[in-house]
Amino acid sequence: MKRRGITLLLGLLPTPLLANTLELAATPSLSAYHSTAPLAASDQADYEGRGRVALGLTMSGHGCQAEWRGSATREGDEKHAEGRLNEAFCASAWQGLDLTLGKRRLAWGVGYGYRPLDLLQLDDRQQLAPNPSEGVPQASAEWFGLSDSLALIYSNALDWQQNRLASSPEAWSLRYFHGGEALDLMALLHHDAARDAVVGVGLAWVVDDAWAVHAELTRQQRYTRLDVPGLGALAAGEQVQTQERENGTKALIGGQWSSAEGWTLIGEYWWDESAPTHASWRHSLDLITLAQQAPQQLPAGSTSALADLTQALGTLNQAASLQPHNLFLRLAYDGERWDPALELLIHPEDGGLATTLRLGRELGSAQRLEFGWRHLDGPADALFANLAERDRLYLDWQTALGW
Amino acid sequence: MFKHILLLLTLTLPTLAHAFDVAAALGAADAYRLPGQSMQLDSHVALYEGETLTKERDYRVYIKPGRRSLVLFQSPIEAGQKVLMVEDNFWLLMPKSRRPMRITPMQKLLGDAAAGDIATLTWSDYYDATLVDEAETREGRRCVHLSLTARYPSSTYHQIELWLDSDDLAPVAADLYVTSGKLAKQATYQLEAVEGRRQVTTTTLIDRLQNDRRTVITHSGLKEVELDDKLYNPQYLIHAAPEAP
Repeated sequence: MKRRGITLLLGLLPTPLLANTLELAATPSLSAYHSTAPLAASDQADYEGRGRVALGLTMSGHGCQAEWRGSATREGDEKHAEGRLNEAFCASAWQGLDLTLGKRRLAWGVGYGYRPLDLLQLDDRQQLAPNPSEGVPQASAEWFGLSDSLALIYSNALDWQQNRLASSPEAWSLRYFHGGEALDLMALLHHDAARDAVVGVGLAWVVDDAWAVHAELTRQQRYTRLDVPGLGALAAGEQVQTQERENGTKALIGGQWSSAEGWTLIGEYWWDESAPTHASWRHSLDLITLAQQAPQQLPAGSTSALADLTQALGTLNQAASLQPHNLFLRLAYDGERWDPALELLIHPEDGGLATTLRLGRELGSAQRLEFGWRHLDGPADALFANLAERDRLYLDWQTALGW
Repeated sequence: MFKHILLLLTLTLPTLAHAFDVAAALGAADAYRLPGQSMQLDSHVALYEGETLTKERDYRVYIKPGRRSLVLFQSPIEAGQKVLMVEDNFWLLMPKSRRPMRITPMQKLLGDAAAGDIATLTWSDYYDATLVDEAETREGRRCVHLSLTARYPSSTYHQIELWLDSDDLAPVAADLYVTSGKLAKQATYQLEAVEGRRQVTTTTLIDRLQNDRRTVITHSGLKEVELDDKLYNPQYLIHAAPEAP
């Protein structure tokens, strides 16, 4: 049925006006689980393999652009297939403005590991295997000067972004950009139902040939944070809850160095006030460990606390930070044959460390191969050391055709 | 006294008559690569290791006065990628994120072919030239040898030794040096008649840092195209590429 739909779509479009690309990707991956970890499911296996085959079709012409992606995934014994339009939008000029309507990627910000200014797209910057992000349904009016731009964006997530913007389906954003001599400046005014008003600024400054620094800061009127009280406080009647708070700050500062030989080093620190605190994670681990090892010692009210915690953990946004303080380092080499990269995500408060190794290689003119491995570790009470998935390996092969 | 003046004139006049106009020569050489101010061209880049073709890439380049260049990556595996160069400022757009990202001059050098090799097609806008020798032999031809020094620190090459054909000032060869003073590449230029005028159609770059690598850049589809200024605004990169007129 889907194939017939695509054929019909292609048939309707005036092919001489299209610039088209067809991508094919295969991504097998293997995860190793620490099945006795506190945050592992009770029926957690030690190893699990996944396989994904994806087909992407990009078309553009007459001011319109569309990207469709279909994929078939096998995860353990489960199989599922899906097709989705990542982007489908048309643009037109009117009275010196560029008007765009449709589903479009709207990533914004200057950070590498995290982007506080990315309020609409919510790209997961710590995603392991490559998987193109899905655009946001939007209508926008943009003005462009020689080095300045101003964009007013209305987005309405409808049902297309169920897991991400469901709590704030409508959003307004006003984005200003100035690209000056060696310096980019960004400013943002945003409003949606979940956050109320948000103001944000960002900058990217090229210091010299090799060095650059970047920073982002947002302040939002409302935010929610998972708070888990200690066992004593639970016994006293406090509850696990995702609390609504006011005036939340997210900030990132980073720098990068590049060499003529192809080395690039990125270092970033970010602070996310909406992430669960170190104390909340420690209380969560205490509660879950006690429930697993000595359930008879659980204080009164723990059953509902455990249920609330399980539910809250299931809804944590993947694009958000897991802890308020985060340190990220990336060393990459742009080689003649191989492109290796080492990434470290550090939680300074508990010593947790996520190590990611990537290795990319282009095969001829139309194929690319990427291998990646991520290992989570840290002291016994570190969050990363207690997550179920400890290691993940993936291999991604991509090829593309154009006409 | 008159005899002295006559002797002085006799000695200096031939020199004045042959005074070489370096700026005019560089402008003439530029016209073989970029005959207009605002241009569009297609560049096909073929990378060889020894005699083996290892990779091919296609780019469409838009050039506008004011040291502005927009490079659109056309090969399917990197389709949608763009590099924007405005004076000493550089931005990269990766299609999967649609987020223009400022890059340093060093990062501009990375990749299969340095962006400067594809998108910087005039010497007179970027370099100060001096005459080294009016009569050197290079590639078997009698050449004028110019030494070019970068006017801007962000230039891809810090120094260029350039040889122009003595007869018509067409570019023949160049030695390209990076900031460290190392000879990075040696270029040779091949000209052909295109629509009644001689133009550089092929640039061959021999990598002197990795001796067995050779890059052959074939230029085609050169035409005058005046793009709107907004297309050189980094935030506009997320919009669709300009459509062929």
